[in-house]
Amino acid sequence: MTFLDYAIDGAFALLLLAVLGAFTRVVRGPSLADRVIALDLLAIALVAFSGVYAAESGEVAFLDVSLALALVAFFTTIVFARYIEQRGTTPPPGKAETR
Amino acid sequence: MTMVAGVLLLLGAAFVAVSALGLVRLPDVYLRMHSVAKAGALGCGLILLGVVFALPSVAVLLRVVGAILFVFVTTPVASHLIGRAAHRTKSAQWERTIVDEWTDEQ
Repeated sequence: MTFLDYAIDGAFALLLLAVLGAFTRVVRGPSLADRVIALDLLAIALVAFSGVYAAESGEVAFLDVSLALALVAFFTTIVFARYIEQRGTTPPPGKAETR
Repeated sequence: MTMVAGVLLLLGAAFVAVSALGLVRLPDVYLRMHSVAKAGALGCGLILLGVVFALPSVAVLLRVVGAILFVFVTTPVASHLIGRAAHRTKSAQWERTIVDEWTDEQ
């Protein structure tokens, strides 16, 4: 194994740690905003993961995958932000507000 | 060339991991958002840059430049929107927060 192979394995391990941390925040996060931020980091880690896999396999198509993932992650975050704001101004009837 | 690629990949993955550490350890929404927006985007950019050095070709370079530009433009916008939504729904702040200009103005 060359240095690049070790570096790729190390990068995979560190990114898996990041995914684990993001998942703990998704489970624990007290508010919905915390969970959305954790999902944002999850998407960033997946974009990076896809890039590292492109370097490992030599397949350029995985870079297209990472670009598409980044696009989808951006739109989900924006839509979640809108949802949080709308829900905050008009709470659903008959329900106690939870933040 | 492969040395540079390996170092960039490891550095980027380390930045993403530190950003996840901040996400787990920091005390409120705004500080967690700060960790994800800056360290996460920088780590992602470094990793994509490392891919160019690992697979040097024009097709890779063009895709990576597009992806890095996209990530660096959209991440601040997304985290700004989340922070704004969290503030407008009066999300809990750290008890040692020093200044909150938006609330002070109103």
